[in-house]
Amino acid sequence: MADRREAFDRLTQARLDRAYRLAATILTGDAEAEDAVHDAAVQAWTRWATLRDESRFDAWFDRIVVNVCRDRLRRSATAARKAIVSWIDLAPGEVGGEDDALRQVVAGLSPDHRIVIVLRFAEDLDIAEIARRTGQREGTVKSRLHYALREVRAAYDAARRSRGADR
Amino acid sequence: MTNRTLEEDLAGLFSDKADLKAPATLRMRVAGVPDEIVHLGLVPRLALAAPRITRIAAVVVVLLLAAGSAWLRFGTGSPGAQGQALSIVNDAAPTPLPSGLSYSCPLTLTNMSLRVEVAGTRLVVVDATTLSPVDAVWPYGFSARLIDGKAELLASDGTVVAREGDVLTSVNGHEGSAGGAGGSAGAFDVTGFNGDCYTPSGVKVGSPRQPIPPVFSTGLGSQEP
Repeated sequence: MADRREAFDRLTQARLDRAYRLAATILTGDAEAEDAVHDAAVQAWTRWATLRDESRFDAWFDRIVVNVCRDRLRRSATAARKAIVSWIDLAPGEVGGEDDALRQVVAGLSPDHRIVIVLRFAEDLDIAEIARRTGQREGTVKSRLHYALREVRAAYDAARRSRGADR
Repeated sequence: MTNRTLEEDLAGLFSDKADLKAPATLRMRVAGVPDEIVHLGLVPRLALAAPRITRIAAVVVVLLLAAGSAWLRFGTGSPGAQGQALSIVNDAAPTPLPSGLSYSCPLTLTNMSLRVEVAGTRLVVVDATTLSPVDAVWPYGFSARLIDGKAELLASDGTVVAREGDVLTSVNGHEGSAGGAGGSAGAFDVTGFNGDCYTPSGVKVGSPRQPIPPVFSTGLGSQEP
């Protein structure tokens, strides 16, 4: 028990900045990210026996964090969709910077699409690593990334066009 | 931004999070997780540790067992905690009284005693003296059930007012006007017993008034017989 606790403390504390950053990028709001990482730590402690090799802790813990974030996003999916709808409804002259537009488009993605975008572009992970952290097959990850990018690109191009027309 | 690709813009979008550090409060919360969980009992810990599919399967099994148990109790007619319903004849639902009026206990005019019995799936009463059946009509809301093989008569509020073999004394009521569900002509409308009386809606309203003893006049003064 003491060994297990020592290992838990050592590994989670070492990974905490990264886990918090991942949660904060996937979710909206620092407080929610903090709660998500805490929930992930609770799950990690209760499932400690399923971690067979400590050298795999990082990917194992990331996967728990991603799953917790996905559950939280699904619960708040309606709010996220409202955010993108409100942006789409804005007249061209009312649209903020393109970064803001892009941020809102990403916020409006479905939880699974948003997660692959974050893991690919914020965490700079390749397809195999994303698959490991989401528990999906590589083919599924590729497909989700493709459709997520297509969705983002459509909104992104629309924002650029409207901005060009506004000038 | 216009000269950059979407992929570059996406990578740039998240760059503001690159230096994000876990707050001290989170470090403390995570460090406290083993203490937080160890205080849970064995069952919650096992439940948390189990994969989601196992937890769902466990819930399904518990629900199936509960449903099976309920079916065995009520579906097959065997007595359980709620018992098996026995049929009795009730008064029809009474019409509400005009405002300002309320029921009071009627005068006790009979001195009948009835014994509670069971006949098949019915709760019946017999005259305790002659043992002849009495076609009783109970106040609206009264019910009967079989608990552990023994019949119970319940008032409209669910109170057990008599059990099989009990003798109801000072039974109050009236004959002939049984308008209850299934009441036949000559049925006896029970309005009270054992010192209690009930409104047509089965609500206990108090003790029935006792008849005034007759007073005989002898011309020399009053005296009781």
